[in-house]
Amino acid sequence: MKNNKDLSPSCMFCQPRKNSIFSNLSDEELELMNMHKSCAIYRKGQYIFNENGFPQALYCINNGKVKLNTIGIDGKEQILRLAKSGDVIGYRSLLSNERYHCSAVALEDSSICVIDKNFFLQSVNNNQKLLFEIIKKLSSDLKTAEEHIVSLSQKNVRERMAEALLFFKATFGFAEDGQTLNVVLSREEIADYVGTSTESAIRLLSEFNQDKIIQLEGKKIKIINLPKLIKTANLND
Amino acid sequence: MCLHAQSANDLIQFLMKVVYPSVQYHFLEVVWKGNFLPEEKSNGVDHILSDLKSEFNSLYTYETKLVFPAVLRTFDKNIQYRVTNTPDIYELVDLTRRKENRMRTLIDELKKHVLPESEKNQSIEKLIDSFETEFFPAKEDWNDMINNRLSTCSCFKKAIKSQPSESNNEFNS
Repeated sequence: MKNNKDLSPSCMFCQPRKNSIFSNLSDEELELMNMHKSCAIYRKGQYIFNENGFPQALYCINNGKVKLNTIGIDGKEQILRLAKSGDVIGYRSLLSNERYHCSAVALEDSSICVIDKNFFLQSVNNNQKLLFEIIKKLSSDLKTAEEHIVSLSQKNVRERMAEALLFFKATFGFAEDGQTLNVVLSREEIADYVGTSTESAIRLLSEFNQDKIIQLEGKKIKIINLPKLIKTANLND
Repeated sequence: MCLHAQSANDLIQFLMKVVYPSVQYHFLEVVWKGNFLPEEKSNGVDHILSDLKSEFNSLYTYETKLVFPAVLRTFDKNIQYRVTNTPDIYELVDLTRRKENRMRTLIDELKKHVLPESEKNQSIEKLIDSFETEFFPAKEDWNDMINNRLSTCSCFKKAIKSQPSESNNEFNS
């Protein structure tokens, strides 16, 4: 880390700040923040803070890119988030007064402002607008994390089976009872549509049967809970 | 055959012979261009690509085996087909549109996570480009054509079993 007071950007004229949690601060508040921060250049690969360390400051990226990572139980690195110019990092641990749950590493040479912990916490206490911006930031990060979880797990084979049954219903329709699919497909054919093994297709159909989504009658499939099938397919916009 | 059958068939041929092979080629190119950076792997880029490929292959299967034949069959004036087996075109198109929306979300997700220093970046960008400039526009043309026929073509009107609002309500309830 290289401290560079001369090159330290003033908060008043900082362009990235305008898109950050500090966008609504008054000139007086910015002046005050300027007095309670320093700026440092972090070289590519350099740690800004370490997992399990105690938070001492809030980090605001003036220029550059940072990755927030942790080491999984298998010893592999897991990147949690990427941060860019205008983003703040380390605020969650600061607010919850916990050790860092991840490390921050510069992905490229980055100019980062380090804001004094006590000043930041005091500002949050005294400034409702700043508090609201932090809540917005936390909510946005939570949404991104949740979307990531969904994207990793959404394409499970159960969804695909439900989707296949909906396609069969749309293509072949129901028999006169209004529930039985108007087509008889072998388990191999169904597995082919779902993109899984025949064994998995048999197991999944059996699960759907137990969950009372469908009713199996030999090779015939009766859809007895269409709303649940649609929900399982996770095809809502 | 309905007069519109030829234009539908032309669009199907374009999708099957030009658009889908192009996307498949770019998927292969991503695989050939070596491994992911550790950052990309742990950041889920490999998962997103895997989901995208799986979704694309799944759509390809449903369209080639069910949707395209169903649409062409609906245009066919041979009454025997329609009496015994009438596909719900509204619902089929709605299902494929939802899968396309999923792919759009995955492409947007991919754009956010691909790191600029990756050696694979170029091939992934080409894949994204093929989705954005070939696949999605061609699918929009297809969906527009179907929507247009659904409202104007008498062959479709005769074959429709359920109203579009019923199909939509099932998903939105």
